[in-house]
Amino acid sequence: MWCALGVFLVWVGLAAAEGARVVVTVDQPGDVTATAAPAPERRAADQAPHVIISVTGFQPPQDGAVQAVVKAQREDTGTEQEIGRFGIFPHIAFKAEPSKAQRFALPLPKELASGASVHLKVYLVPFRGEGKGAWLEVGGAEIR
Amino acid sequence: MAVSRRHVLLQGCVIGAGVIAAHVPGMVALAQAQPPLRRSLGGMPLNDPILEAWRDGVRQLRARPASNPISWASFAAIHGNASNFNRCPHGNWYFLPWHRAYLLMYERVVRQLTGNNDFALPYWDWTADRQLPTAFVQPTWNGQPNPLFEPSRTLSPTAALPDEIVGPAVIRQIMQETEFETFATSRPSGQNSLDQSWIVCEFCGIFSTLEATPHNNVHNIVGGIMRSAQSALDPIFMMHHCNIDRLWAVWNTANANTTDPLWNNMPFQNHFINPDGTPFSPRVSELLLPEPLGYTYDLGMPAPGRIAARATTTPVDDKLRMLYAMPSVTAVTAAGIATFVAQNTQQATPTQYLEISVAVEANLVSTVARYQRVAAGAELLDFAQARRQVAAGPRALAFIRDIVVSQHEDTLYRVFIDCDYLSPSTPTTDPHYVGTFGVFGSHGSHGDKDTKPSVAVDLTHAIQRVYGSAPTPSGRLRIQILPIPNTPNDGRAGTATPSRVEVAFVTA
Repeated sequence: MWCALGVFLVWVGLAAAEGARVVVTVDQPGDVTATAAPAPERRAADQAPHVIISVTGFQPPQDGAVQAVVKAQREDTGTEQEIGRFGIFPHIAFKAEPSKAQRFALPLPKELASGASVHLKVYLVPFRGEGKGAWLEVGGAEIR
Repeated sequence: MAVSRRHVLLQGCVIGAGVIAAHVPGMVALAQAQPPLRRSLGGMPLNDPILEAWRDGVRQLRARPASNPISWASFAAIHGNASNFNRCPHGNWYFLPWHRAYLLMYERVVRQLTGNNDFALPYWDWTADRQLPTAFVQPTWNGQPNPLFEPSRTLSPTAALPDEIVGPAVIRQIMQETEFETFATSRPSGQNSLDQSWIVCEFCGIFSTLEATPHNNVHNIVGGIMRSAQSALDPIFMMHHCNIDRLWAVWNTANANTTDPLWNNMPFQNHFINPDGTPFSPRVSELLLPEPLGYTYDLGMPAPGRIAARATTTPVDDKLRMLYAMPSVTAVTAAGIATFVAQNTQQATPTQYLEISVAVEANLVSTVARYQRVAAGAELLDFAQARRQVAAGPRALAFIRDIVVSQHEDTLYRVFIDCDYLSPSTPTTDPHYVGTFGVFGSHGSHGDKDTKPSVAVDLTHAIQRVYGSAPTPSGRLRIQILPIPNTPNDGRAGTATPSRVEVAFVTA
């Protein structure tokens, strides 16, 4: 177990050093900034905006299951507003390059989509148990 | 032009497809003008012929060796094994049509194995029925091992799926998507051909809420095998995916699929097997509507373009107005109304809920329990139609009269029926939950001059959840009132003492 924890800590350190990736655990939510997608990938004018979250790694908990809950920070009030949640299926560990990330689209309320970016907080929430050992790596987020 | 349900039905493709396919064993349903209806497990009796056929079909498939291409193990292996997906797409826009074809394979084989050509897979409407369906949690059935039971599941039979995963707000958000790829998960990034590799380029699109939230999380919460790529070994898999498939059909009543040829023209080459053992390799364009495939859902929808909210009055509406207008429902005498009363002197407290047992006619409870409900999601697209379906059906209401309350400003009064394990921690997602009422203003124990509040609660849906799949209900309904603090961390809550409970059954 200590070995696994050590590997995990080293890996978290490496991830942090890369700068772009954020590792989220049940005890430690992650801050991510979603920025506007490059022009070719932006939505059509008549489509509602979405935040696309890229997940580049996942480790399920020792027991039970977890889900990711994504909240956006309102600039006017500073409060957080949930914009969606997702699960990883199958619920098994994976690690992927950014180009192979699992990407999740979450609708972005119009009042939060007015700026060029939106600040997100990603939580890992267990369905049962304490979610020990679980982590999720967010490789980035963009607005489309 | 996008093909809609209306176009296909009008052009008679259902019958045309049926004539061709009727020669293949297990596919007689295709030749029927009215294909078999996929029904909700909610309210389905445990000995319903559909459940009996599913049990029998699963049992026969399980009994076959994995070397048999038509067996439980080999069908599941098409989906995946313990560590990886095999042919099934997840996280790209083939997710919905591939699983539609995958379910069809089971449906057709079960028809053939059981000889029941009316068989159609039932669906688990987890928005309406939050617990694992009863038929799947019993280790035995009629004294034999239950083929639908899977011991590895970690979701307790009494635990409920949470609102944030399958609740009405989530379904509403899914149904409000108007663009196919946002609704159904998007195309593989960079796809430029119909090469088969694009089907299994795992997670190469962008997950929609439909796939990411209810789909993924129900898999994970049910647990055990269902959490893995070999989830199709658990018979609840098909009922879960059948509900996903139904939601797609519901969405299609108001929204068109993409017309992109990279989606429509993709063949699932040798992915599936016909009941006669030959390959079943449909193109996506052949999987767009249920009816040509030999099944249907009761969507209760008018054709797109004719959806409009219409104010209507039903005979049940008129009777309900009469009941609400009287100081006691026993004063109402009309055909289609039956009333029952129980007096009370006991008090509901936060530590001791109040239970008032009302003697009723069991057949009336049964009538309410068996009425076909509006499937979750349908009301979002045609509220008026859904309302008519609800309004035309039998209803059961409880009128809780002349309630003396204390500390009501701190209190929520939760109402349940026939819950044997009721406690302050019993969630509002429990099937026995009826509703919550509060008391506003100055009421209660201040002498006879005070007008004591009365409330009416609708028992209909709780009765359908509790007794829909159960044996014939007894001749009693226990109305339970549990006061709880309306500020969870405060802990203070008051009491309630109604003078009586009147139960009314109303039929058209």
